[in-house]
Amino acid sequence: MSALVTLAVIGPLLAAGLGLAVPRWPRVRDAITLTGLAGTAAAAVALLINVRRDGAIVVRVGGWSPDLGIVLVADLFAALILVVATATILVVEIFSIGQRGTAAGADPNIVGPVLLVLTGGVSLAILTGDLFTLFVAFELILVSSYVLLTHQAQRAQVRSGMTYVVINLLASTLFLLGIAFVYASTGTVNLAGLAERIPELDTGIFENSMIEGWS
Amino acid sequence: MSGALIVAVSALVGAGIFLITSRSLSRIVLGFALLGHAAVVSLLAAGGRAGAPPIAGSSDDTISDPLPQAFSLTAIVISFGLTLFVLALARRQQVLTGDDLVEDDIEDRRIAALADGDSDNARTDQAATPSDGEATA
Repeated sequence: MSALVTLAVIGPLLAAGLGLAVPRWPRVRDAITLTGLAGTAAAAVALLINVRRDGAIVVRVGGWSPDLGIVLVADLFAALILVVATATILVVEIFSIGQRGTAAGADPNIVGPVLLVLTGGVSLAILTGDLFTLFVAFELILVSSYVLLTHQAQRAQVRSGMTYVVINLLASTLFLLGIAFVYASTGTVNLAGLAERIPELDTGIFENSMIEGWS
Repeated sequence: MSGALIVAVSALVGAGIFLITSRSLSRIVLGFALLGHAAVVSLLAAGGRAGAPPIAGSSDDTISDPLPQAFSLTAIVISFGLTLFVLALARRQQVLTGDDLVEDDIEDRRIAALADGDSDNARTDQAATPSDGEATA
């Protein structure tokens, strides 16, 4: 059942590519988007049922060892969050189709594919087993949200979008610096590996700190 | 970890943060590029001592840690794409307003005024500009 884990990440991204490849017919793009999102939600539900029955699923992407390669992990909590997230995005897309033609309506040719990329990023963020892939997934989510915010490019969107973009750029760069520090001190970015190695770390400046769980 | 790399990272972070706090988007873009480089340099420093090229069987010496290099490559590509996006946003802002300055967030000002206990002002503010409130809602 490891195919379901990969499908939840790859499926929406492939559908986004397909949506952008067909001509700009709103009906066709809507159909692709809805199929992609509903398929991802269905995969998430199937994953939840499987994980509930058989326990957590671990996928080593490309067959690399967990120390070097990317690992996707679907435990019960991740599967549950994935179901909630994909169902929410599906409802958002249905709402956005309903809003079409009104003043708040969005461009159907852009919103569908971008929403699918966002879904792929959300799935990857939930299912990933290491910190650096989490960073990549955050960037996928953030870039799609920048485009969703500013795609009409009117003055209000650009004004609000700019603050949002700058704050998020700063935050994700700080996250990257944090990953570098974590890797420097533990030698791994795998979340399961970190759980083992962080208790072995020299407590250092945290010796007398108020932060619990470091000593 | 080399002391020169630590100095380089701190200088890049300092200059980057200084540029990001300015109002002009072109400076923010430059500041973000510097911060991205700081992150890449610190990732490389996290890899420890440099060694032979990380190709299996190419040399008998200890090889460099290949993982931080892969991280850096990904981070470079991502920050390059984001820099282009912010530049496009700055260009759009220039077309719309004639400059690339970050504008004040009116809603944020209003919330800040409320938090200061300045609720009377905030209320008159809202009453004075109802059309603006509707437009952004």
